[in-house]
Amino acid sequence: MSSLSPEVLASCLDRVQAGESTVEECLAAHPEFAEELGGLIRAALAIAPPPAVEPDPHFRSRARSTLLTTIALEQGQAENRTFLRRVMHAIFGRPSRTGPIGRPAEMPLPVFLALAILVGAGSAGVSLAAEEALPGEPLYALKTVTEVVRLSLAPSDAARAELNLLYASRRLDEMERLRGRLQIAQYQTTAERYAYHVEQATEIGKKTALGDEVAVLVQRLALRRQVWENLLQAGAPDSAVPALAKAMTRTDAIQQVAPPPKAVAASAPAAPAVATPTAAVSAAVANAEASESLADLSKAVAEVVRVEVGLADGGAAMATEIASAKTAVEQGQPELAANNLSAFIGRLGELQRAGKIKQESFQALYNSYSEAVSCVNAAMVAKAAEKAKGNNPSPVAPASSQNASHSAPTATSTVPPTATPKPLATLPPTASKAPAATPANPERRPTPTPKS
Amino acid sequence: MGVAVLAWANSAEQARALQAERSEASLVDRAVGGDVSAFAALYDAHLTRVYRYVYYHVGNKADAEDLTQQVFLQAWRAIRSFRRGSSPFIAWLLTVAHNIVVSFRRQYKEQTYIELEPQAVARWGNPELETLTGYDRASVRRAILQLKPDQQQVIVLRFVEQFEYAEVAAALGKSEGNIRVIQHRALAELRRLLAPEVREK
Repeated sequence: MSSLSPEVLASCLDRVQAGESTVEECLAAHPEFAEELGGLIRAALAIAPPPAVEPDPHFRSRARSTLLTTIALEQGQAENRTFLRRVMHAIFGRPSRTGPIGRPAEMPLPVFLALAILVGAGSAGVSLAAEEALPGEPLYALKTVTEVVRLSLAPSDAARAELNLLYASRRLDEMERLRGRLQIAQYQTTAERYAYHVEQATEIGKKTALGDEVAVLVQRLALRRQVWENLLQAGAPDSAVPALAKAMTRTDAIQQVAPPPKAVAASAPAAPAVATPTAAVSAAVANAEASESLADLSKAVAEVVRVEVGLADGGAAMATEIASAKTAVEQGQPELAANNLSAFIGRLGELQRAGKIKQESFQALYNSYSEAVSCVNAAMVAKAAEKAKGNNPSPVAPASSQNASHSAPTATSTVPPTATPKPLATLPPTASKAPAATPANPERRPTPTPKS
Repeated sequence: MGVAVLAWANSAEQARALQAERSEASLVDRAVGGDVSAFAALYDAHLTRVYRYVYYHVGNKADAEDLTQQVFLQAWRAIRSFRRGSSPFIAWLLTVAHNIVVSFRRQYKEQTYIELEPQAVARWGNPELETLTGYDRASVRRAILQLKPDQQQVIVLRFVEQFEYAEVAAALGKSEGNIRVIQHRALAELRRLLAPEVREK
């Protein structure tokens, strides 16, 4: 007594579906299984293709850009120029000319819009978090992509010039924050990208008149030119030297096309114009004031470390930086203190990004830090003034002590520092900086704790 | 004369199909090799089909969109393991989709979004099938979704997505004989589930 075999069923199904025989003919060919065969064939024939639903076109493009961005993020560990270019190509299509970041010359409109949506509104949390990302971090690729998209969205040449300068100063921030941690490739890439952005702005400046906004940004870059010099002096790897030099020459070049801003105080955030008064303050007094402000900061840090952060996770390191800064000013070396402050704010930023510190605590520390920055700036200026008068041979301290500080440049410049670090909520990222010794770089616009 | 034209038209269509096959094959090879832009092109080509497959299983737009995204992401992560054989790339994609749908439904066992949204039902053509077989599509779908995962997969690939035995076998890594056995069992189970639904012809 045989039973219906899968093969017989399958061949009957095939023939019926192909139209080669009818169901009745199949059943007639296998009378002993007619009942079972008939039932199974009928069940099979009742199975219809899925409903012809169409995916929403917005979903289609949104999902596409999210997919590509996520792929980029997951591969972001290996941040290198080749990879970044590949991501760019995937999202934007192959560009006809390539700059150091493989910028797109033409971009298919739907893809572009999708990415603009993503960047502008969709993944707000990720996008925001990406803005603080540093080279080597997973979100850095997104940061770059965001910048490229915004550049392409720029409504005018002047706007594009402004964006380029904004991004140039971001590269500067990254260099400063990463000092000591930058791998060779990142040194070069970041410096080259800085040079590229400045060059772009310069080219625009040769054709169109740049406004006051741009002039202010140029001036800030000029003030920070010292950063590149310091990096060279502090011993950048040989392969990075050309890029660093290019950064400096581009910075010089753009000043030729950017008119001096008419009213610096008007467009910049409230910055007390410190010209001559500080020269009258003696270095000793300035150091003492700096020491006091650092003592305050130190207390605040200790409290936060005790209550929130703990000694691991950078808490101890933060405290050490401030302690070292205080010692430095007390020994008449505010430029070293500036380096410590720079490292400190880098760590603070990391803690904030990692969500390890409450927003109020962060704010409080930031305010104390800003205070300390002002005082240390003033101390550096006073020291430079006294040195200029031949009073005070500035001690060139050894390259590094126990801190992340790499450079110990002599206080060379007498350009007055503009004091106030940027108020937190506002947009343009660069507070004016004292030029000497990669000074303490106030963390701009710290983002709310990112959720990713 | 007409026959010659017909022959020419068929071979032109065949040529086009062959060309499409070749370019997809090259896209797939590049994607397996890590080319993101090739994978993006595959996304463009197959999104609708994957979406429909997922939608069929979960019955609503929100979950369908969510899971479809997961399918492509998962496909990218697993693409190194794809071997271009007798199974089309879309068949492999749908097995990725199947796994995702199954684990999704396992998670949300309590909520059975089994019924399709009305607009989807409206787009479900071919009402003659119902009078012919005596089963209505919605009940058939419900029954299919109650099958065990591997039976369900064979049924959906063979009859809903209409792949050949060889393609299904390659996609699932089983022999064709095995596929026919599963098909037999699945149809029997389907018939059993549908039994109270039978309308007298």
